[in-house]
Amino acid sequence: LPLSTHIPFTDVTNITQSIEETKTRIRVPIFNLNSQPYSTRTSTIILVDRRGTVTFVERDWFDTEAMRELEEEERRTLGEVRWSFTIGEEGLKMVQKTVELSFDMHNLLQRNTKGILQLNAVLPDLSSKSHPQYEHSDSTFEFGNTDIFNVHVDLWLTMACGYKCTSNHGYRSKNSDVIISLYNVADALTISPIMMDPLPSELLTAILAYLPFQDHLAIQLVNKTFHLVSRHHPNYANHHATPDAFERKIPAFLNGFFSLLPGETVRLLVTIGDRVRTELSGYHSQIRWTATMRTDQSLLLTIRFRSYAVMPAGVTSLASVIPPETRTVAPPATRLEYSVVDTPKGSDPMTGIESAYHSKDARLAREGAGVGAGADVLGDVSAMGAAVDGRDARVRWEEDAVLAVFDGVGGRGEEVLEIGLW
Amino acid sequence: MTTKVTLTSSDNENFSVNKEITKRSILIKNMLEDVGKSDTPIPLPNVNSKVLRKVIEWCEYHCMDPLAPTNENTENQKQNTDIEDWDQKFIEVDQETLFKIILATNYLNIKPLLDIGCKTITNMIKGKSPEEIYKTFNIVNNFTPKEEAQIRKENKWAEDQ
Repeated sequence: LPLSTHIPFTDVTNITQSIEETKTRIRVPIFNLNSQPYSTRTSTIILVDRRGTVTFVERDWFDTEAMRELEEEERRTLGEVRWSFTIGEEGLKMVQKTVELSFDMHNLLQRNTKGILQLNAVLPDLSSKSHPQYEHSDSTFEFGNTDIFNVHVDLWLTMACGYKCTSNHGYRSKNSDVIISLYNVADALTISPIMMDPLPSELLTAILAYLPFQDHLAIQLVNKTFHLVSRHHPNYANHHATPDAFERKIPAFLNGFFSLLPGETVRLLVTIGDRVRTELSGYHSQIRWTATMRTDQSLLLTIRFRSYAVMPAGVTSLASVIPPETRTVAPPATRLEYSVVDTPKGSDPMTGIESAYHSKDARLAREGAGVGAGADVLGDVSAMGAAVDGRDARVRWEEDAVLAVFDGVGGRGEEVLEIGLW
Repeated sequence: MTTKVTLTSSDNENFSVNKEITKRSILIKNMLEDVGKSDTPIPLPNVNSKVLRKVIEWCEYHCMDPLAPTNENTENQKQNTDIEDWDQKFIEVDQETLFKIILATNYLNIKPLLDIGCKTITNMIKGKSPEEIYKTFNIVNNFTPKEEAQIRKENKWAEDQ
């Protein structure tokens, strides 16, 4: 079959024959790019005009928000995107001379199940008595932008299967998606951009290291490799085998939030138990931390929990077992951009603080600060007053931190300065 | 004392380069230490001449920069994707060349240039939807609809405000 030829079906009322004929005409677009076929999860139409411009018209067939398959009409309106590139003179010569159109349905099944879905969507209409007529006049083919089609119709590649169009006779038929082959042209093309597949996973990890959380969510939907690398990437999630393991790291974990600039927000996931993956196994919980550093340098922390469970039959259940919790941390908290300042000489508490700061050992520091009697008391232990940065302060000992607490002035809440944090 | 070293690309093109400049590459630096004073050309079978020329250009421009630490922890990297003006212009190449530069600098172990390449890719990804990312990089989506729906379902929780 020559390219640029549209072959009508012999007998559209004969489904078996139509399927056989479709097999010889339908194509999935295959570009051999680094030995990887190009295909999309959308139905794809490829157009080539006289100037060598290849236009992909891609139509989403699934509304991921509503989780439903789109009607054909919606595919043309809501789900359509276009992408063009120029194949140049050499590619254009190939378009004009290529005639080989061998096709293997088995390959199609293996390579592109979406193509089959599309095919299935089209075929029932072929026998529909309500639409007995199949127009093959390019000029009436209906798309969002008809310029290309009206002007350059004669250089279309071979049409895949029967399509219906809006005719002048008043019946409005569905505009079935058409899949057109660029199969034989592909080898002649040097197409850029190329795929990212040649990049080893360590380089993908390096690339994803600069991506914020939100972009990780997008990248996880790109393909399985990206999904895997992103889900295990520290920028997306921290993983801990047990709650205890996570508890031990909470101070260091929170430290990252305190380094945010005013107005900045960061979001992180913590997974306890099995790592997140599409095929879940066992049980695990996740904690989502959203931290916003306010302009007054208080830190707003929103914490959400959910747990996963996998049923024996492999059915995943998702449950948010604990409602979201929003809290403001240490209002107004201060960022860790200071060190111990103005330590009064001879002041035991402050010596202790300094010791704490350097030793990174809470117990040792408490003892050094002269609050040994309370060393085993966890939680708040207020020590005697001290002067920090020229202001009176109380020293508060917590399990993993030493804080200088300034009383509020002028209606403000108390101000907390972290001096040592473990 | 020899101040030049010859680098041979995968397509057998020789580049005579100042030894100090080549030491931007940890791989070449180690090779030079291994071979001592030998004048034997250093073969770089993973880098073609076009990419090697670019890499040398970058090394020459940055020859006075302090050597970057090699053991930076990815986890601690700040998400700063700013690229210096000169480097920005330098890396304005087609995607195929960009990927080749990244692969080459990974092989040659030139971390600052690798970072620039990675940041460039990152900037191309930032703010894009999955669909836009497919198109930008010509990536094949190999999820089944069911798998994709599952991921969207999982991630919805993480996306909610």
